[in-house]
Amino acid sequence: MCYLVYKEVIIVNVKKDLLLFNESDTTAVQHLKKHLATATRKMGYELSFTEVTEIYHTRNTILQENHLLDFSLNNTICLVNMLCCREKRNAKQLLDDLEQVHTIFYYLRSFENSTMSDEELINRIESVLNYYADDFEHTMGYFENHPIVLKEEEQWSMKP
Amino acid sequence: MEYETVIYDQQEYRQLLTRIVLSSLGDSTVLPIEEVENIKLSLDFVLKKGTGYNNLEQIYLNGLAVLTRELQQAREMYEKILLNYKDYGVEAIKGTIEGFNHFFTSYDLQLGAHLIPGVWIVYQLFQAIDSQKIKGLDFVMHYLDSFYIEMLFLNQIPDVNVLDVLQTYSQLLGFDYQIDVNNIYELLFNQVISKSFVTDNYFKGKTLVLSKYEAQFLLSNKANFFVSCKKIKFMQGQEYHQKALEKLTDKLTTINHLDSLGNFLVLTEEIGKKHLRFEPPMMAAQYIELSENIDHGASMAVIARKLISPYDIFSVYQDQLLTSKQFSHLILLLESSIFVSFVLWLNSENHSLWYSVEDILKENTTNDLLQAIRQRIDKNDLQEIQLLNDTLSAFSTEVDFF
Repeated sequence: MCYLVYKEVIIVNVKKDLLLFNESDTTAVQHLKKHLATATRKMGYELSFTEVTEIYHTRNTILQENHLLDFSLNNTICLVNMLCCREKRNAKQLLDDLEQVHTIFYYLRSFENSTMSDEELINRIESVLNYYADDFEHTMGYFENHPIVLKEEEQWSMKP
Repeated sequence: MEYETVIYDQQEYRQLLTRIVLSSLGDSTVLPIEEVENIKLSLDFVLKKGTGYNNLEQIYLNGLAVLTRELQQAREMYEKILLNYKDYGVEAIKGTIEGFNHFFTSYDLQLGAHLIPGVWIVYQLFQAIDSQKIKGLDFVMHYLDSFYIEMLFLNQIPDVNVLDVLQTYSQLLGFDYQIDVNNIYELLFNQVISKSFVTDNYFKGKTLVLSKYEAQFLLSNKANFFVSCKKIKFMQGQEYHQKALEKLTDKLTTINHLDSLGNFLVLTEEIGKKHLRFEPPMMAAQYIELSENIDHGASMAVIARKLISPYDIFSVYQDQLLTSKQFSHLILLLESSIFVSFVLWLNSENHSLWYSVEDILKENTTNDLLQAIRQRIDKNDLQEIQLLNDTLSAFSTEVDFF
């Protein structure tokens, strides 16, 4: 049993979510493709249907591994946006990096981080990525050592 | 109480579940799978409460209304209990009842109707409730209702009598009832019903602890027990008490001996069963050392400190290690408790003829031993004479006829 609901990137529309609750995988991928196109256009390419399907399936696997359900594709879209605003990367790199941040994000969600919103968590991942200059291994290592994200640490202040 | 399985329209059911899940989302769209499953269980629980409508949405709303009403009833029941219950110093009762307070503030009909937050049952009722089968508010209502029946029963008995039974129970079994008691109602019910079987007056009786004779009477008339107890006034129409009576009767039918009766009824302790043991004599080598010390002229105080067993004191006298003057000096130097035990031991050797200090003073025979003891008594240490009197009257050692 795995329900899927997506939300608009910015506006959370519960009524719309309700309608989309039982949509098939194909519809989900199409929805995702449409929203990711805006983000990747900056880098001068658009992800193919196969690539988006791959993203979608990787996301579902990571969710399963963490015993979680995500009722929206919003988080995936935000993560892609976050990556695209950083240094330029080709489609292959983007997919690899996205898997890494997906893993970190849902890893954090599986811990007692209920006081933190999804957006706050993504921001936190971004600031740690900044600090380690896009070194994903170091970033993952940092979060493995600090699985509980505290609001007080909101100002990222790791001076070298 | 078992829940039946109902099959709902899948489409409607999914929509309803989705709506509830989405409404539970906060700042995050991610939920642990267990949480979603919990919401599903909660929905199922509410749906089973609502009946009579074809539309699933309406069944749900109806179920919520039923639960809200029941929650109010349970709260009223809880307030009645809070005002009237007594914990008799049992931590488990207090903790369990106070735990329900948290339940009433945090029970969530939307997301956790099948859960009992804050309720931690440490105190078991006479009829234990299976929390695996009976869930959520049903469990709470069931527990509170049963607790209320038990409470009303216990409140009819004067506190003194309840505590008397509990104290005796603790003493007999060698543990603290405040920590280890299972269920006070069952314990007290058994006492009250047995007491009313052997005497007419229940509840207002002097003590609920059964005497040996009452227990014997109960045992020899156990064939009539169930029938005659069923007629007792407070039992009428009380299903809960009937069950307790059945359980007690079942236990009674299997036993034939007074000793086994003590396993589930509180009986008075038998009198005269106190056993005494005197300090055993010292080892032979130690005794030889002691006699050598005496030969080398050790002071009486040192020797008195070494003698702790009445057997040794008597040996010193019998072996004539000391002159009679030295011996009476030694007796004077003995510690109070050792002196008393020595007199008691002598008394047991003399077929227990002494019952008080006066008996010793009246004694006709004059030997050095008696002289020494009289001399010590003449010292007029009031506390010691009191102790000696008490000991002589309380303990009678068995007379050996051979």
